[in-house]
Amino acid sequence: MKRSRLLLVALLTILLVVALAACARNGEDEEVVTPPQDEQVTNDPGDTNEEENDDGDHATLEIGGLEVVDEAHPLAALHAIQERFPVMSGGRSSGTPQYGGAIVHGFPHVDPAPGVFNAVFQMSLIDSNLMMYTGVIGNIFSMTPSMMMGQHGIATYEVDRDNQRIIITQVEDVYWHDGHPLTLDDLLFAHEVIGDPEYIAAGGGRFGINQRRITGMMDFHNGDANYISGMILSDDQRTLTIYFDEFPPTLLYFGIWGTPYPRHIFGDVPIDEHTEHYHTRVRPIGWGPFIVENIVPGESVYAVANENFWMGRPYLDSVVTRIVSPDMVASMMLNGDLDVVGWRLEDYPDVPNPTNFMYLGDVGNFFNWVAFNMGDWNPETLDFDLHENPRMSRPLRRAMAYASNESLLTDGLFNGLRFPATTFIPPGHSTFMHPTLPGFAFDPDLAMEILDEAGYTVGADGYRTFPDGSELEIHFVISGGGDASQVAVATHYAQAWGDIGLNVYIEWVDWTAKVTNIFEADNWEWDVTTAAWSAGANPDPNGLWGRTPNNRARYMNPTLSAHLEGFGSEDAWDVEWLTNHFHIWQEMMFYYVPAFPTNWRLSLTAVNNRVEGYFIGQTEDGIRTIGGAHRVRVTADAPYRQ
Amino acid sequence: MDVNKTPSPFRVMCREIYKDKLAFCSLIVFFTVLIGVFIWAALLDTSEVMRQHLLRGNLPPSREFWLGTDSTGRDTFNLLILGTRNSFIIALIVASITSVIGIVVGLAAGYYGGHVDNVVMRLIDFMTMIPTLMFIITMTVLLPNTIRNFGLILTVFGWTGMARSIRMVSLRQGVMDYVKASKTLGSRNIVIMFREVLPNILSFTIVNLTLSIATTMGIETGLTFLGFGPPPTMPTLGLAVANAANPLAMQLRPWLWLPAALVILVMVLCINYVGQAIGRAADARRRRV
Repeated sequence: MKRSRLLLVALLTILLVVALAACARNGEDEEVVTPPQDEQVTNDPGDTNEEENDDGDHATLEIGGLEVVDEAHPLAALHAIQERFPVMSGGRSSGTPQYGGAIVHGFPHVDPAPGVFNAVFQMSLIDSNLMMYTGVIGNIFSMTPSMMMGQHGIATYEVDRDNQRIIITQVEDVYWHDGHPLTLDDLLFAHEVIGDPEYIAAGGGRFGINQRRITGMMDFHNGDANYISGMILSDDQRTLTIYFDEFPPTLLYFGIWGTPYPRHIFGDVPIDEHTEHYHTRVRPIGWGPFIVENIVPGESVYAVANENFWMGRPYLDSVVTRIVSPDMVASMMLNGDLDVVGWRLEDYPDVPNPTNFMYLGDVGNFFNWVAFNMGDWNPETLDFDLHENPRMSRPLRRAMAYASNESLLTDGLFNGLRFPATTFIPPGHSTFMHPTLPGFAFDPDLAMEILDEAGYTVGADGYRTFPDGSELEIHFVISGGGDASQVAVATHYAQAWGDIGLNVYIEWVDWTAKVTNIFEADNWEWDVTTAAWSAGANPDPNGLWGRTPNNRARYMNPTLSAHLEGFGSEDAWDVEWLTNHFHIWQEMMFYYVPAFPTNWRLSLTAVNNRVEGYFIGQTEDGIRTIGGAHRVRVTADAPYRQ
Repeated sequence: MDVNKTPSPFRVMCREIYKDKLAFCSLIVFFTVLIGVFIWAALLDTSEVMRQHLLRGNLPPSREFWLGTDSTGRDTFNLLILGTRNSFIIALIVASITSVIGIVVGLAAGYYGGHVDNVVMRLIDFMTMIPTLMFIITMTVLLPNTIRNFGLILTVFGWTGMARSIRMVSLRQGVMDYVKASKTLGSRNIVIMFREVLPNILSFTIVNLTLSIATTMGIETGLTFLGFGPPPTMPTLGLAVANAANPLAMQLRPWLWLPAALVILVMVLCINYVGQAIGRAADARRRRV
C-alpha cells in the first residue's frame, strides 16, 4: 500500500515539474536578455556621393538591395546565405487572399517597451517596431536600395549644391489619423522641437551633427533666435527649403530629418511634457496605414485600418504588434499564435523546414563588436578624456582581437547564420567596405607572440602580467546572465582570452544598468565589453565613431579626427575619393583597434503561410519604408498551425 | 538496577528512522547520492567541465556523453554532478546560517516574552508580508551578481520561518519549572537559553533545519530557472533545469533537464522523509516505535 502510494506521489510530482516548466515562461518579463542588441537606430547623416543605384544591374528584389559581390569580397558568404531565403512571403497557401482580417506581429524582447511613441523623442528600437504599421514614426521620403533618400515618398527633393540647399516639395495629400492635413509645416515643427534649447534635457537624442549644419539652427538652439533662419516654408506649406552651412553628400543618406511631428497636437505643449503626453503614451497620432486604437502599456499595440491612407486603404482590417518572450517565439509560431516574428538564429536548426510558416532572410545593417574602455565622454567639452595610461594597451587589444575564433561562434552557436566581420562598415553599405582588409582572423599564436614581445609574460600563477610585473586582471562586463546564448557568447570570449594566458574576471550585470553606466555615462570600471549596432542608413563613421557619446569605446586621436572630418567635406561628393577615404578609415581602425568587429548576421523573419505580401527587402520605389504594410493580405481566418 | 536505560534523543531518532522503512531508504539513497556526487565532483575540474565546445552542441546521450551535451557542447552528466554538489552546498550553508539566526532570534523572543517578543514578532510579520520572491529578484538585479550576494539575499529573507517556529516552542519551554528554577538560582538568561532550553528543543530545530535545506534547494533552483540565481559560471541544478525554459529544447532534448529535475525531486523527497521521521521521533506521542 505504502509503495504504490509512494509511486503515485512521485509520478504526480514529476508531472507537476513538467507542467510548471512548460508554463513558467509564458510571456512574463524576466531578466533574460536577447543576444547583444542595444539596437539604437542611428539617424546619422551619411556620405553619399553615389548616384542612385537604379541601373538595373542589381537584382534588388532578390538580394535585398545589396550589390552582387565577387567571391573574394568579405560579404560573399553572407550574400550566398541571403540568396537561400526569399524576401517576400507568399505562395505557400492554397487559400485565396482575402480582404479584411487581422495579423499579429511579434517582437522578441525581454523587457517591457519604454512606450515613448513619439517621432522626435523615441530612442528605443522596440518602440518604433511596435509603431511599425501606424506611421507615427514615419519618414516622408522613401528609401533607395543603397539607403539614400528616394523620390517616391510623399515628398520629393531637389539638391542645389551651388546654394547649399535642399528643396523639399510635398507631392501627395496626406492626413494625420485625426483628420488634420499633414504638411511640411509639421516637418519644420519637428526641427524646431529637436533644435529647442531644452530638447536634450527633456530626453531627446536626435539633435545630431546634420541638424547642427542647418543655417540658423545653432542660433535657435542657443536661444539667440526664435525661429530657424535656414528653413523656409512656402505659404501653401507644400515646399520647404533648407539651407546648410556645410553641405556634404552625407545629407542625402537620411541626414535630413524627414519625420514630421504634428504641430496641431504638440505645438503648444512645453518641451518637457512631450514624452508623457497623452498623444505619446496612450493615443499616438500617425499617418500610416493603421490607426492606433488601443495600447497595453509596455506590451502591445492594437491598430485598425486607415480608410484615408494615401496609398489606399490597407487590405487588412487590423494589426496587433506585441512583445513576445524570446524563448516562446518558436512554440508560438508553431502553434499559430503569431503571424510574423523575428526568428532567433539559435533556434533555426530545431525547425529547419517548418510546415506552417516560412522564413524570410535579410542581411540588414547589423553588426556585433567588442569595445575596449579607452576613455570617458566629457559632456561639457563634447570630447573624450582619454585615459592617460590605458590598461588596455595596443598590444593587449590586438592580442585579444586575434585570440577569438569567430567562426567557431558563428558556425557552432549560430548555425552559420552569422558571419565573421572584417570591418566596421555594416553589410548595408558594401560599396564602402574594404575588399581586402583581413580583419582579426583567429590566430592565437600571433596573439601570444604579440603579448610576449610587448612584455606581458606569464607569471607564477599561470596568468600574464603587465610588463612591469603587476597583476593583470581584465574586467569583462557582460549583460544577459539569464539568457543562455548571451552567456555562451560571453563565455566564448572569456575562454578565448583565457587561452592566451589572460586572467579574465567576468561581471554579469543587468542590461539597462550597463547601458546607463557604460554607454551613456561613464560610471563604472570596466575594461572590455560586447556591444551591437543596428546601423542607420548613413555610412558616415562620425555617427558611431566620432565625437559623440555613441562612440562607446571613447577613443579619438588627432589623425583619426582629421580623417573623420573629411567625410563632411566638399571632396566627399567625389565617389572615388569617398570610397578611398572609407578604405583608409577602415585601415586606421584596424591599426588603432579601439574596438574590433566580431560578426554580421542574417536576420530571419518567420511569416505564417497565410500571410501574403509581407516584404522585407528593398525596392527602387522604397515600398517597404513608406508603408508596404498596406499590401499585406491573409488567405485564412487564423494562422496555420503546425 | 539498570534495566531500562532511557535512550538518548539521538538513539531515539536513529531507531525511528530505522523502523520507518521509507525514511530509512530515503536516508540511504540520499547519502549514497551525496557521497557519490561529492567523490565524483572532487575528481572533476570545474573550469574544464564549464569549457565550451561550440561545435559539439546539442548531442543526444551516447557512450561518450552519458547524458549528451548542452547547446554549448558541455557534458551534461558532469554538469549535473557539479550542479548537485554546488546546489547542496549552497542550500546547506544558507539553511545553516538562517537557522542560526532564526534560533537566536526565536529563542530570545520566546524566552523573554513581553516586549521583546512583540517587537520580534512584528518584525517577522512585516518580513513575511512583503512579497519575498519579488524582493529577492529585485535585489539580485541591483546587487552585483556573485554567489556571495546571492547567498546573502537568501539569508536575509529566509530566517523568518525558522525564527517563528523556534519562538513557538521556546515560548512553551519558557514557562516551565526548570527554567524558573534556573532563574531562581541566579543563572544568567543567556546561559539558561542556550544551556537549558536549547537542548530541549534541539530535535525540533534539527527537523526544521533539515526541511529548510530542502526548501532552500527548491528556492535556489527556482530563482536560477528564472535567471536570477548565482552567476552562470557556476553550475547548479537550477542552471540545468533552466534548459527547459526554451520550449523547443524541452520537447526535443529532454536529456538536458529531466535528469536534473529528477535529482531535485529525489533529494527533496528524501530530505523530507528523513526530516519527518526525525520530527516524529522528537514527539513521543507520534513515535511509531
